[in-house]
Amino acid sequence: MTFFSFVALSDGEISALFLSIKVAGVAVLWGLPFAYFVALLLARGHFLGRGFLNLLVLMPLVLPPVVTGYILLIAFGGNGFFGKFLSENFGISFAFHWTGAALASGLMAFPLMVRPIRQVLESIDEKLIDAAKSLGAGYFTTFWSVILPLSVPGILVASILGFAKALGEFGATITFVSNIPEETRTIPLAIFSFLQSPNNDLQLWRMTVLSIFLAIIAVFLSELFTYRSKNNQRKYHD
Amino acid sequence: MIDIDISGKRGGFSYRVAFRSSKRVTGIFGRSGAGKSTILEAVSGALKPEKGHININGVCYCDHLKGHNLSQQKRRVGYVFQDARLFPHISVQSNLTFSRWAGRRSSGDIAFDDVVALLGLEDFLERKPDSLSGGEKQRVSIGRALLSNPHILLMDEPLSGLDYQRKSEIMPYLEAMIKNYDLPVLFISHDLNEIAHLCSHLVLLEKGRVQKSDDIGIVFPLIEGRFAGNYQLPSVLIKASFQKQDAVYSITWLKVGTQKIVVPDLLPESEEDHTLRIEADNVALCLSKPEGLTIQNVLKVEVMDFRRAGDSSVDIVLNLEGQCLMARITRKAFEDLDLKKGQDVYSLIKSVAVAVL
Repeated sequence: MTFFSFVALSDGEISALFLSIKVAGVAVLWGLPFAYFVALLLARGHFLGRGFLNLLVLMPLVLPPVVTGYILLIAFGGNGFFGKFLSENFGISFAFHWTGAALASGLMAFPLMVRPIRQVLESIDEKLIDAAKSLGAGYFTTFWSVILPLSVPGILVASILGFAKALGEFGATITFVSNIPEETRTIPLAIFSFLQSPNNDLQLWRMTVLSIFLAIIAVFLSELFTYRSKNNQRKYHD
Repeated sequence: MIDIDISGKRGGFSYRVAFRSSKRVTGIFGRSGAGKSTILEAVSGALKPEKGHININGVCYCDHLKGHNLSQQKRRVGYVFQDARLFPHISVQSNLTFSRWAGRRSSGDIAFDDVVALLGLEDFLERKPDSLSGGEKQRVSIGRALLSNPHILLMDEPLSGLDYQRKSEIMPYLEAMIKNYDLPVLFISHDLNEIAHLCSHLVLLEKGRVQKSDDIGIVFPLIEGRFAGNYQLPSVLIKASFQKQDAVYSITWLKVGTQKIVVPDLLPESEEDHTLRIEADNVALCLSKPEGLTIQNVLKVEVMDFRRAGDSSVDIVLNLEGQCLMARITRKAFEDLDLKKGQDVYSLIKSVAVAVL
């Protein structure tokens, strides 16, 4: 056995890798605008029910993933209220489909995406916003010209953390959309499948190393951006 | 014309501030917590006073009786903050033009190139604010406020974050700006020299109330007490015109009315009056014209009024050809000399104690 054949991924493994990247990518792209909006409400909004919204956002972090998956199944499954509505009106179906895996992993990653955006929004100096107002900028212009550009570091960190989390999501995904090869079998689900049958040690190791590798890259990038944005702020406050 | 009459409560602090000023630069002076910034915030619209009105050059900013309150971005206010508050993510140029591209304001009569030249900003238009020094940031911030085509400039201790060197660097820019643009300015400062230098009207504020609001020459001598850590003796401002330089001794002769005063500095010849600041404890009085003194400045004055200053001293208010001079002497000396109102005396002022602003 040559070294190449030792590290070369099988078709099933390659499909799991690309499916994972697709699922996590879609989860982050769709999740980010919602996460930004919620972070904006939590960081700068003053309204009744702010505490409740915060609690709701944190739920996927503390609930057993299987419960989140089950709730998704009830709400977005073929017979679920939202599932029916979306498939009848927009032709989008989630049940046993990779889009369902994206929804499940996006929801599980949501609290991790809201947090860094919220932090960067809270760190924006209120005085800068006063300055913008005194220069004639209205609420929306202040948002586009000051708040959004200054929250870019938080958005980057949120994307990286969210992507990493979505790549690794297991419980809610398998509960919601099952473990279908080339449709919903992402890397963690593939690892789970390899574990279920004997003589798969090689594949198991390859997938495990791949997961660790992706996780390290994600954490490194997110730390880098966090460090950079903190550095920028320090410079500004001096 | 600035016409402010506002009152309200803010936390545990209640204020009732009313004054009018038709001068170019109106200074607001008082201890920290006297409510100086509250006035500027009310003018800018960041704070809504409970009662009263604010009119700037005939435009009503707010009037609670009419239920009128102009929104913050519709008030044409150029605000210069103590911390420059430049937007860190955009270039100096974009900061300067922020009110145009974000605020949709036309710059009106104020041309971009003129402001850039006036404030000396040519060299850092492309740079990010982070790379500027404190003084440079503040110059950009003044330019940004000017370019928003304001009807009034609000300056909240614009120089207090800077060291002495940087202050004196910015001062000429501030003067040039005030000279070039016909805008009313509300100027807050802890520094009496800055106030004396720039302001022509002064509002003295204490605990949210106006103590006095009048020409700076009238209000300035009333300032006494502990401000920003230093004990401030009363001092007066005297306008004096240039007469001649004496390069040999490095002194300059100035004229106050018909009398001469000498200052230890070579001042440039100028049409405009110089402002001199003289503290009351540097002025001595003499009943007859003295001879053989080291003191160069002997000016004939008339006694106008006296004020007790503590147990042992008396402040004598003097008329120096229409301008106010003040001498702080001991009560003992006051009684020995038996000074009377309307009496002519000679005031002795050490040249080195005369500060030229």
